[in-house]
Amino acid sequence: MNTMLLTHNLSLAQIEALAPDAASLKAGKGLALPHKWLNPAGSSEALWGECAGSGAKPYRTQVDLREPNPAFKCSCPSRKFPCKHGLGLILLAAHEPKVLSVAEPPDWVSEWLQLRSERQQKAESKKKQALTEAQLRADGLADSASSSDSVLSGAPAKAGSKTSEAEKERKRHANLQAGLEELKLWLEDLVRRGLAHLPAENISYFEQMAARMVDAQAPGLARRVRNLAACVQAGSNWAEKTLEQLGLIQLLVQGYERLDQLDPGLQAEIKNQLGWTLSQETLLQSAPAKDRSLDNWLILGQVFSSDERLRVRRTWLLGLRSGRYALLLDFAFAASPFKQLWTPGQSLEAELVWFPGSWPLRGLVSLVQGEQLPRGPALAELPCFESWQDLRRQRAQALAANPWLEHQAACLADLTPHLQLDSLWLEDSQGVSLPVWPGFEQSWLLLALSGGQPLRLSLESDGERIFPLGVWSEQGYLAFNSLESGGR
Amino acid sequence: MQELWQNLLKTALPGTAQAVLGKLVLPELEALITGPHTPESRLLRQAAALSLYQRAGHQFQSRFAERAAVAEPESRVLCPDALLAFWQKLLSYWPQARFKPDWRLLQRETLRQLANRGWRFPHHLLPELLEMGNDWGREDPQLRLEILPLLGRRGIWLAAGPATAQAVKQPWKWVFDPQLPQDSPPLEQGALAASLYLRRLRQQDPQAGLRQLQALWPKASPTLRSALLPVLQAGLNADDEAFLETCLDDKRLRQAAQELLSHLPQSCFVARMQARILPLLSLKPLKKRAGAELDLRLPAWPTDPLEAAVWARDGLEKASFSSLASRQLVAEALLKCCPPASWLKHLLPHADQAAARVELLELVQAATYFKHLLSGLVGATLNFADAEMAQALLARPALWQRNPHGQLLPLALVPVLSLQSQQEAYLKALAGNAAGVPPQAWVSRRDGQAVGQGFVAAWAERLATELQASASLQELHLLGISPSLLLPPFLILGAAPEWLPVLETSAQHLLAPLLEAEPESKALPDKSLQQAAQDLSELLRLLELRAELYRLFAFTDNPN
Repeated sequence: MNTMLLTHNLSLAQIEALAPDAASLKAGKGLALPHKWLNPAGSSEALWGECAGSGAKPYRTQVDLREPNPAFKCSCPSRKFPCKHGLGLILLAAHEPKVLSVAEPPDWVSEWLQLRSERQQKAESKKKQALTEAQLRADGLADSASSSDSVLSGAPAKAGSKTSEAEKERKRHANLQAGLEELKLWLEDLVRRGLAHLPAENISYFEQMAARMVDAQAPGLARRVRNLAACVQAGSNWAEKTLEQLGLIQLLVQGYERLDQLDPGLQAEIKNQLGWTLSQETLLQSAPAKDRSLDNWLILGQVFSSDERLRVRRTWLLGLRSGRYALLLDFAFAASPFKQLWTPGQSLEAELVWFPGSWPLRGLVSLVQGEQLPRGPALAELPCFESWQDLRRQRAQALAANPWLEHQAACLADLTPHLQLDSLWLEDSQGVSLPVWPGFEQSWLLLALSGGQPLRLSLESDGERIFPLGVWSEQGYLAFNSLESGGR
Repeated sequence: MQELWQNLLKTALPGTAQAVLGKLVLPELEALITGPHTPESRLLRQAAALSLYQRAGHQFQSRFAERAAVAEPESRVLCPDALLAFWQKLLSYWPQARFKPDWRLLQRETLRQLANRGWRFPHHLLPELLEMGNDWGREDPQLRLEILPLLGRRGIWLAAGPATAQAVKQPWKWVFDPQLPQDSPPLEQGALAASLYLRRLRQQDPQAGLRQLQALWPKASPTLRSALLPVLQAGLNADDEAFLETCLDDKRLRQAAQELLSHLPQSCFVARMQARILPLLSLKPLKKRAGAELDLRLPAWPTDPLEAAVWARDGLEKASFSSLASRQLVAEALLKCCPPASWLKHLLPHADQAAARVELLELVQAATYFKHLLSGLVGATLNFADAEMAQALLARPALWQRNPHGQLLPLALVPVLSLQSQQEAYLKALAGNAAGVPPQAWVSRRDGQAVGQGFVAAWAERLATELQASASLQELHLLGISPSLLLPPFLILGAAPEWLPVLETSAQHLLAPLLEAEPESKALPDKSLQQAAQDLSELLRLLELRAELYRLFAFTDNPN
């Protein structure tokens, strides 16, 4: 049956990785039983079924299987995505394909599929157009292309739009500069009075300045000012952490003051750090060819964290041809879903557009050209670091280019995990061991895969701590489940 | 660099209003801080430059670890993917299962069959498997023995806590290395591992197990002794008696030893218990009519100090003889240690055994101490696994009507019955003739002989007849015919693998239409009927999975 084949492209672990949290996964497993469903069915494109809930009518659940990442829709009121019903249905199809009858999708499913196709087509054509324009720009033909567009669409309107953009930018710059002046005074006042007074300060001391930065359209700076409050509470080395954070803020303020003297990459980085970011659409439309990379991207793993109610997902990719690492950064508020599903352990042939910066790391997937493969490639094909020292050297280079760099991903060969006093350490081929972040919950799994022998691991590091993302085992690449790592 | 940073902190903490900021001694850093600046801005710029230098040159917090031992290469073959997928599927039913003990048995059977084929689990599933042994193995040590071979060398290495010089909290303390020489229990791995090792040895060679237990006894601490003594339950036999008798001398071991000895009908312990209670049990002629009644005089604490010491050694306490109620309980406990045959021999020595059993039950039913006598007789039947007495007890529904233990008593007796007796009783219950015993008493799974073709056919025939009379789940529900009576777990889990396809086909043919006829929730008027539909669906699933397991084995065992 087709549904069987389609769901079998995803391993059970990969299906489980689609869950927004552990509770949803548990509930979804509870619903992956035939008697929980009325008329579960599937076709080559979708799965659907009705599941009795607390309401009078059963919930209608549907899964679009046409894309490498399945899409879900359910009539239940859950704000989680996919909800437990969606997970339950796809798990049921994976476990018990014969329970699902093969049928033509009913109206409520085919309408949704149709709607999704139309939306997809629109997005694709937009992307293609953006790609063509970017290509033309890269070839030096953009001006003539846009001038011919202008002729067709009316040149005055185009000029007007450009003027209004420039005006908008000028205003934002003025607003930001005023905010930075206030921040500078605040920082100098803080330093004059000394860090020692900070532990006695109320949280509003930081919050007020953070709010001012938000007004100045510098949310990145607002976050750093708020972080100061956390640094002050950081325990015995709070003063060092606070001073380091103050240094980074100062560097940013200073950088913006000298923005026009810096190279374009660093300019973009500073703007990015301030929170003056490009929209994804603009990026897709404006990125030149040199900022686009077509590669076979292995999804190394995901790390989740949260900042109050904002949930952040860092998805790390490794280009198997280029050896480049990329970060897909996604945000979701409270229980709302992340827009895109990425399944760790799979790889996809795709074009990635890099956000401009002095050490480009963050990217955006613009075009998926090939299906995601269920397994990672052989060990020998992968570029990786040989020792912790290698990684440290590379991080020094990265920091030289982007002093505000926080996380980076890397693959290291020959790491041997071992336990010491109940904490996990990773020892490199030089015999140097580093501690793994204590929140990593799969120490025993890593040890089981190792058996005391070295492994090839992918990991995320913030310069001080290591968080394993995945491991190459005899059965291919295995991504660790990082669902529980929230709060890092 | 660290010194510079500390100097900077020395100014930053009190603030530039109170402390003077020095210059950076590194010219390349100082050069970065150009132009006229206030002391505050200067400090901030120094902090920016220095912190960046520090982060870029940050040495990871590292240490040279002592090398851990490396796991030995695997000698067992990796379990085929299809069976691993089956295992995952089996586990996925667990959270919602209502027939949990039956699912547990299928899990155990699966593990045993995988191990018997010389397979092992893949490394990434080992922590999960070990955790299962931790969680479920507490109540079911046999499960741990089923898991052990599947761990392979890697699992044994992992459970030992990858050996380093530093103490590591080892979470799976029940695991021992089955490849180590079997001349003594692995005490260095703790009491749990030693206990499991001895349990396995007792199953294979009870005398060797006893010998090893006796050998370690002089050196064992009281705690270890308490932990290890219950392993004698596996393969318990008359050879264990002498050792168990010595354990009665230790107050801390007395209860466990007494419990084990009370299962040995020829033991001196049982003889002593009989001597204390049987003389108090007698037939007394009725005053007003012919016949006799069963009389029980309650035991009293011996006045002779030497005799009292022997009683105390056997676990009887003087304090228990202080009131009428407690003496009744002592009498009940003593009666449980008397094999049913000894009751018959003592009370009705000349009667035919079958007739004597019936007569004894009549006497018990009419006795003044009915509650204690019944409880004692049932306890004795269970202790000595007397199938004939169990059958006689279950065939006398009048006993259950006055039975203070409710339905638990017949349920407890079913495992003592012979499989054939259970099957016959089940078929009668399915036909609506449960003989006063709750029908579900006959459905539970039991170890031992596999259910064969004859019974599978008899079940299908009887079920078809019943379903002709009552065609819907609702009607069956109203008649009190539960899903487990329609498809009993002892049949699902006991059917010999070669008859599973027949059983599965019959079950699907006869029972699946009951579910298909009720697809809409409207057709299920109350929650209990909905539950019945779910239960039947779950039992069919259990059967399907067991049949699937052996289909997979048929393929893997004969791939050609």
